[in-house]
Amino acid sequence: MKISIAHLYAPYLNIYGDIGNIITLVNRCRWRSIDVNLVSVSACKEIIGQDFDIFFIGGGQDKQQEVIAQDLAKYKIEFEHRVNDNAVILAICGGYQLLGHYYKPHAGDKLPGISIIDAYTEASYTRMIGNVVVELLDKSTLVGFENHSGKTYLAAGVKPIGKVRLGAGNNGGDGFEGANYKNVYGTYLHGSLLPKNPQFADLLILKALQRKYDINELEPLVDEFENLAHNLAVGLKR
Amino acid sequence: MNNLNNLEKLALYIGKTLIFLTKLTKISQGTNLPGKVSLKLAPALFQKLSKDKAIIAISGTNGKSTTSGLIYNCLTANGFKVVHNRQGANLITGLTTTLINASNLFGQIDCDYLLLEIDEATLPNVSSQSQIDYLVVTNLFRDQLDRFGELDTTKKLIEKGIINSQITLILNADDPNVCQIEARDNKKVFYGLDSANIVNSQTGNQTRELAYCKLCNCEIAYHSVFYNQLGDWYCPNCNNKRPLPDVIIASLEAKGIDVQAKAIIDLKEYKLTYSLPGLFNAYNISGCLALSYALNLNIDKTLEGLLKYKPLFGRSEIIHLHNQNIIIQLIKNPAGASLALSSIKPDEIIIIAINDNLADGRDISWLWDTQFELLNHHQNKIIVSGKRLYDMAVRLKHANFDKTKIICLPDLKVAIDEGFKQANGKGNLRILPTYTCLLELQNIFKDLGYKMSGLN
Repeated sequence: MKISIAHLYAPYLNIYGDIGNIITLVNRCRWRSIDVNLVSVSACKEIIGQDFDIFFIGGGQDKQQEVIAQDLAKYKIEFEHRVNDNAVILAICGGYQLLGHYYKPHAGDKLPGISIIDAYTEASYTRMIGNVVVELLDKSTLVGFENHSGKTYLAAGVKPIGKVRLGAGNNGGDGFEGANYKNVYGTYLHGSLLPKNPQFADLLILKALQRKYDINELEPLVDEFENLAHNLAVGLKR
Repeated sequence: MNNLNNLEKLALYIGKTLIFLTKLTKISQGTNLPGKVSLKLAPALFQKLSKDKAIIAISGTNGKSTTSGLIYNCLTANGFKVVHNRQGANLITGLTTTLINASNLFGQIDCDYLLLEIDEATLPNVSSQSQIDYLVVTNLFRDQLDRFGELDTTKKLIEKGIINSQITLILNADDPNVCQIEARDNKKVFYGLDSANIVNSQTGNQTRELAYCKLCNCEIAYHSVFYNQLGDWYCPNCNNKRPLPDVIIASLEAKGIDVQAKAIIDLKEYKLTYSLPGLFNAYNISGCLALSYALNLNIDKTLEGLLKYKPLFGRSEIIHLHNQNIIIQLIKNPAGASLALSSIKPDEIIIIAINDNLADGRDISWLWDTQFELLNHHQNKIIVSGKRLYDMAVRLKHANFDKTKIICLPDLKVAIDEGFKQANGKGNLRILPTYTCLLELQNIFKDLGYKMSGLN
């Protein structure tokens, strides 16, 4: 089997260890002998004409986000097609904000999003920083660390990833964290997210492979350290 | 006489009593508490005690402690009396404790210079209370973003600290973020390394801080990269480029535990010897010499001061204890940690100890920006310890280090014992702790009978 991953704006959105997500996706495929084609993308024109199973977009600083938002906005239709074609997208923090309709900073114009997720984000004066534990529908958990001042509001009917057991999540108000539409996942969780949430990493890999292959599950891996790290993080203080 | 009012006198006495008591009882290091209590009582105490003193401030992400320690040696070698927060407590509470300790009962401090290592976020506060005369900015890397939010924020804090044009700025010319700090018409002295003699030491696809030209906002490019975003930089779009440093370190050569180097100060060449390994310490030396140059110190005495410098505990000195060579290197952010990893030999026993207390940085995401891949062919076992040991184990596994060779020991004392056992007197035992693990280590080593030369 083969999987193709695009790391969007890799040179720019490289803060808070988000590269750990790419490392995890690549390794968890390779450990199962799945071939990985990883492409580091610095501008979206580079994805045209290439099929990708997974797109990853990380968080960055405000300055970098401006440049990226302008570039990404030009490929709104492109990404609509990709999403309808069941591509998996994982977007963290700043990247997540750009999947909504817009990001409104304190000063200056709104940064356009690509409206894949029916949501918007506004800058706030509280910086939400600390450990996060998210509870999913099946009662399993995601653990990570958030660090953002943008507050994201989901439109009615948009599925969050889960409820925050610890931490602020999307906006510190409604108790939700992240958003999910089709195979698109946006979240504020750094940490990195995927290394110590291996089940979630595998969910993304499985959905990506199902675009091309008739499979229902992945070959299991031994996740002893991952599970220890996860369980320890579930018990952390804010 | 600093005209302390009665409340301030009381605060000073209480502070002094607390310093005495913490020393006596050894309950804590007592570097912050006395200042904290005294400032509660008399908020202007720092301002009063530091009034009219010549202040040298050291700030930036990495190298603050070592650079200020070097400066201390050079100033004293030149015959100056210096008060220095050498234990590295660099928040306002720690700075105030240092002043309380140095002051007599009338609030007078007998010294020529206050030498203060200052946390980036504390700098604006200090600067608004007392006139800083010299400010050394070492570098700006991502570090403790859980406190500062973003790297740009850290830079803005330093800019906020440059409150007027009377501060002479000693800036790292090779770091485009430091070099381009917004200042008024402050006098600037630049320091750096020599591009011709320092080979590109960039290891792997290390995460590099992006830098932008302050004139045209274009991304900075490099003629040569020395380390992370430090190098001979230029703007590909306009004429902006690295200024020629006033102080340059060239041709580093390791001689045993000593380094022999050449310094070019204001176009004149000097030979120097010091016992701090590595490229990063060359920057600390360069920054120290730049300040000495700004102060017009006697160069021979300054070089003597450098030669006598002993590294702080945990800042890459080589320790001999129980027939074992031990190297302890504080790790706290990707830039410094990756550099520390690049100097490890394959036959060493490694202990990595990761905590996530406030002083370590609560967010351990930085482990993923650090090049642990440098260890993927490491022959020996690696012991992981600290509160976040399993995150470290996961990181090593993903760096393709053989996971069966990872030993998880949460208790640092147990981990150290195992390290000694594994190393068995041979090779180096290499310990890489985060800050609060280093403090723990200090006590463990004291209990093992090690005599500290410099404490953190």
